[in-house]
Amino acid sequence: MSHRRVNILLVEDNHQDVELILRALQKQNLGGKVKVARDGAEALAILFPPGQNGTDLRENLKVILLDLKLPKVSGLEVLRAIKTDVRTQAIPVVVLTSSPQETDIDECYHLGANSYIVKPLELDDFTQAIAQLGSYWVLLNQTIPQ
Amino acid sequence: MNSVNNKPQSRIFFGSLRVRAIALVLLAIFPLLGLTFYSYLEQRKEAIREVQRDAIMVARNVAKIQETLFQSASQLFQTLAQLPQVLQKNPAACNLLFNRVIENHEHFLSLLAAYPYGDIFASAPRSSKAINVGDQPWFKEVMRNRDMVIGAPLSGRITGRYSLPLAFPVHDHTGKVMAVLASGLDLEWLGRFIMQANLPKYSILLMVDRRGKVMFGYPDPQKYIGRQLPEIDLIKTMISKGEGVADGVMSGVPRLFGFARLSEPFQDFQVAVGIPQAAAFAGIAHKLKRNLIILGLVSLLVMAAAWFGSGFIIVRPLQKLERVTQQLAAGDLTVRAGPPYRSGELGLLAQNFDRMADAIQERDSRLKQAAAELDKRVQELNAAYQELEDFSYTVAHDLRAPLRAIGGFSRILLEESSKNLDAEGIRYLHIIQKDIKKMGNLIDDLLTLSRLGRRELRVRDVDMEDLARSVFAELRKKEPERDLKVIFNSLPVGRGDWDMLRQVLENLLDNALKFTRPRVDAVIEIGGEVSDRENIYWVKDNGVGFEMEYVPKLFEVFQRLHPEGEFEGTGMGLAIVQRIIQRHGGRVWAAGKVGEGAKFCFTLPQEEAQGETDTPVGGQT
Repeated sequence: MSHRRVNILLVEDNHQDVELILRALQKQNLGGKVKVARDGAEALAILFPPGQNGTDLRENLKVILLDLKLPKVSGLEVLRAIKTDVRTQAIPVVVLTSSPQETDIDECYHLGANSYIVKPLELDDFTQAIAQLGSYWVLLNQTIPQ
Repeated sequence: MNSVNNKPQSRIFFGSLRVRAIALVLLAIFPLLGLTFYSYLEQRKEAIREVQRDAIMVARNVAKIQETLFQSASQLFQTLAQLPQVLQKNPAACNLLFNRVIENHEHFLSLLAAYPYGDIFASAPRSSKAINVGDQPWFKEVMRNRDMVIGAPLSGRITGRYSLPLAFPVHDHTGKVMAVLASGLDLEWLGRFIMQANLPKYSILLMVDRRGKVMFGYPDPQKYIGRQLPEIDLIKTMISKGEGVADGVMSGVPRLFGFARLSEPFQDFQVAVGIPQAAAFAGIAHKLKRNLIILGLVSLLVMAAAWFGSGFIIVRPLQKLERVTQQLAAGDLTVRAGPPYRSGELGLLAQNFDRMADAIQERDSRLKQAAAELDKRVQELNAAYQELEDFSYTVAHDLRAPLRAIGGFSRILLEESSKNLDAEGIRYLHIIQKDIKKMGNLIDDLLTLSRLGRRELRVRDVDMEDLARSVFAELRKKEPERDLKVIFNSLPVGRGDWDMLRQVLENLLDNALKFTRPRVDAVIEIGGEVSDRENIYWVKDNGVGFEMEYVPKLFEVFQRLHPEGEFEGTGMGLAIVQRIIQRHGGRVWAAGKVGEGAKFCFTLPQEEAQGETDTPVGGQT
């Protein structure tokens, strides 16, 4: 799979949520530009492949949608890794989670998350939120030049 | 380490046992001092008696000696008067005889024989001149009395020394006075004798005649002899008494006198010895001084012994006890004053102290044990509660994901595949949608409730009125078409967590809106006041109300007083309100009546300190 087309990295372990998110993004015609990681370790492997690889992907990424509750490596750790590495720290990260807990919110912003969104329960709200996210970060917002 | 140094020194000093011991010693010394003075006074009396005894003895002796002198003179005269040399008035023979007599009797200064008309015909020591003594008082008296005469003392015409003239008539066979024998009794001889009597310094000796005229005085005879002294009254008293003791002032010196009278035929003469009182008391005064010095030294020794002894016997053990007490007070419950224990009260004190320390230690260890148990229990409880919170949080959290999937996909089914479904199927999907929404609310409330236990309170001043107005405005948007009256009274500023208080007001106002919905003339009133130590806030409505007997159930989780179809809700709103207010240290209560409305009140403490009850245990949930 060519990384050239990938603008969004979705880190989410819940299959249903992945499907709903992808569905929402497809409404903005962004579905094909998404790469999905099923856990934190996979996300890190995608972002930081061994050797000199990965530069293309990182340069094309417009946003990372990150769930917090992930197997193997938690979302917070992934976030920390992204925001402490010079190669990735400029990539916007939107935390997308079910947790409305203040400590999580505080921690995420402290680590450098660009946005924090509690997944709406209602499908319409959910779809709208994801769609807006996609259009904002991928279509409107320009990545800070590295 | 010695905190005694911090206390005022003077109090310590005067209150100290050592000083008290010294004071006791001083107290014991006082009777000794009194005794010393008493014995001094007794000795003084004794000394007076002794001196008086001495004085009278000396006086008696002197009187005796004088008597003897007079007697021996009398005998000498009688003998001489019968000797032929005298009877023949042979001057040469008499001179020879008289010289021999004077040589043998040193107390006779002179011896002479005179004719009845006064001319001396013989004398020793011999005089070259012819002397007539006819004009001498003693000569005239002897011629008149025809018996031995003792004359007034004389400053020796011949010798220059004081002498007492003695005269004796020589009778012829017819009894007629044919010659007069006379002699000068050496008064200094008497003085010399008195010197040998070892009288104290400045003592005086007097010999007076019946009229108080001084015959002889010692020392300084010239001061007294032949005179009447100013102290004549004193002398007269002595003369009248004859023999005894007296005290009085003579020559300006207080004296003790002993006096004695010469016996017959010389009873006209009286001897008095005056010893200065000072001399009498010199010995005892000295003794007193010595005794006082000894007493002083002994006192000093005893005081020193008391000082150091009390240091050893009392102060040191007490200091040790004090040290131990301080250590105990500082928290070291293992310290003890002994063993070994001294005997006596201090030992008992130390033993009792140790017994007390044992009791304290015992109680302390029991207390610690109980505290540890309590602590353990609290920790267990906390852990259990935390577990419960975590559990409910996790449950609520993990319920959302499948719920979102169910809701999402049933919705997608409804939107995209409804043409494949019949009317009944579509109705089912709508039911699923509605229930998912309900369950979502339930989960949200559960999350809110469990979050309340986890979150720390961020206490600050909260403008309750402003908050209530904004919350109400927010809620009002849901049903903008409703016609209702709302009254905002002014609310005191409260102290608390803004978010949580917002939740409280939201739940209460939401309830008020909800339960007044059947009313056409719905009125909601919000008010508050400052009470003694807390602020009271209330929300009142004229809604459907409730029966008072169900008040306790109002604040329980999932408790509803109305069927779900009538009023929506999870039954957790008031439980959340109660939980939040409890965490703030306030109280919640409600009053209502079916069909007339309800009033919900809550309080916030004015001091934030008493607010936070961090232990998440408790509450009626």
